[in-house]
Amino acid sequence: MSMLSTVVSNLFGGPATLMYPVKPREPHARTRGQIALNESLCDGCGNCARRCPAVAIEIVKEKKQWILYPDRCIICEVCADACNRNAIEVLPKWRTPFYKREQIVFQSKGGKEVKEKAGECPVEEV
Amino acid sequence: MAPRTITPFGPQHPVLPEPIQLKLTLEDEKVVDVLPAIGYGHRGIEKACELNEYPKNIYLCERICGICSAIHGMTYCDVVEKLWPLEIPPRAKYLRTIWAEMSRTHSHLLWLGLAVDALGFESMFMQYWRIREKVLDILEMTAGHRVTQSVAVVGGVRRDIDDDQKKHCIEVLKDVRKEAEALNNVLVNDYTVKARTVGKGVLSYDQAIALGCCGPHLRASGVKEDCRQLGYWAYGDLSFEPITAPGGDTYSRVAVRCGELLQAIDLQLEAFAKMPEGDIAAKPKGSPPANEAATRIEQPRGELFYYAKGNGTRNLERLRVRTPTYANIPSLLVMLPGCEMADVAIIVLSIDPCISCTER
Amino acid sequence: MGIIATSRLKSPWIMHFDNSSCNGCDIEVLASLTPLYDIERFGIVNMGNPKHTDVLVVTGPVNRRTARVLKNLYDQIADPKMVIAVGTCSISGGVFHNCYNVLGGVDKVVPVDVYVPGCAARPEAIIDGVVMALQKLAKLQGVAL
Repeated sequence: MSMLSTVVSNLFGGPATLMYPVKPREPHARTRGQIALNESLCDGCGNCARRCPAVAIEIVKEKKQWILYPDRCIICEVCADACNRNAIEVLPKWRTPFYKREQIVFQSKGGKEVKEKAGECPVEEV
Repeated sequence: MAPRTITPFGPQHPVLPEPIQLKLTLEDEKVVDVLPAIGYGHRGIEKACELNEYPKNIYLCERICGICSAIHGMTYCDVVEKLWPLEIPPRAKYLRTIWAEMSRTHSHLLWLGLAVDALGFESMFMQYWRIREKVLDILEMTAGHRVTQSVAVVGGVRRDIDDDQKKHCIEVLKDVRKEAEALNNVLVNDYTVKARTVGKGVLSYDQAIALGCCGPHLRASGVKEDCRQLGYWAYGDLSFEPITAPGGDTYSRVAVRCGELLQAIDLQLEAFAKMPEGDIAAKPKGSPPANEAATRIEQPRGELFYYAKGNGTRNLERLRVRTPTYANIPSLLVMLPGCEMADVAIIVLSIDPCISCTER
Repeated sequence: MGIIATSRLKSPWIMHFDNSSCNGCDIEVLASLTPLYDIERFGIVNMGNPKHTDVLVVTGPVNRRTARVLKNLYDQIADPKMVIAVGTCSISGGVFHNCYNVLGGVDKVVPVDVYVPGCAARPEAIIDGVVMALQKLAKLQGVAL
């Protein structure tokens, strides 16, 4: 009998289920979904790559490239906190699943030649 | 003597999502002997913590266990702060307490759900997990992620809870408390639940102390021990009294966790009311000095112990973690023999096993 | 054959195996079964038996001890089968990259079809991942999803 109040409130309270693919949930402002680089602000100082606990960021100084390995990133937001120029944005939307492990290359300080390309991620030897 | 059979329980088992193996020796339906085999989840985190620089270890330590990840991260920060020693601001202490208690709330709701699922009480499982999502939602709102909060940093916390969030949290917590209380009343008075749990897996007061159990498992045997009595962080300012139950059986463990669930929500509400204004983090000076420190923090499953040794560089020389489930597994050898095969699942679950903590 | 292939896509049975993960993704896989996300709406049922499953959901990095267990489970699943690696550490080892007992991602041991990133992966992302695996399966079998 003590269950009755819960049963009644569930009966008239509407469904608890989120109709996910039709109606996605509103993300909170602080939600850590994925990181992205604002290329025009990045000066390639390497603060983010040095502090990343999962070695997900690589900086190639000669080519001015900022490489993100989404398959290693644990979205801890350390890179965004470490960046002095606020070049790294944390977006609340989660990263969509992928069929192939790839790396995302951002051309930092490339001016108008901002391009994003995907290449296969090298499988590291253990 | 009836013929004996050896049945493996795990490493992949529907009741327990985590890899642990129990070799059960059965005589008909009765368990006569049990041999746990652990080590499936060993990753070598303690060694990796020596290779990393000390701020990176926070995120590695948080991944020791995904259920109480906020507490693992904050305990690591706590032990590293003791190397200087570094005093954290009062507001950070309150924020740590709030996030620790939020983790406890969601961990206990999770356990109550899994435990009733092991009894076959599936609608109750869904009810507990439904209200658990509300707690996860406020965790996501305040800390940024549902599971791995990543709020701790050496010297304090990374994120602040502002007034709007505080108001929303208090509202949700009051709502959760009301619903959880109604569900708990059903659970502890239910005839079937009593029939399946009362007198099953009994561990007496003396045995619990002799086997070195900890946490709600120990308190369910009537021992009034809780690390929060030490008064770390803000617990010294809050009115706190450990919850115990006399029985020592599975039913008492359910009752203790039901009580602690409501107590955790009360502690959060009290901490929100008393939270002072001010800074949220102190900046550590240089590298951790050559020094040793140890800390004990109450996790949802029991006492969590961290030991750290610094050597003046940015790497730690040694980090040692002792987790509550490791202390509670030996009690299975006492509780399981003599029970029925059908009760093995609920008795194993009643210690709230967290295998990823145990094996690291 | 047509009706079997279609029904497999309409109601895939998944099995969850935890290598040595931190529990975060395991709990999120379970959470996607519970009222808020409820993947049973799509006919996706969680199964404990490898012989009944179509989709294997793997969480956590492979270590030296679970590699054999994972291979064993994979071999027991009947064809056609899909493997989903849930969580960053099951894709590449992630934050555990320098732990001595971790071999790395699941793809070192068994072929992986869909990678679901995130630490811990959100239930929404897990649902997306299962749907993507089914799209791939539909393409392989030449059946409309």
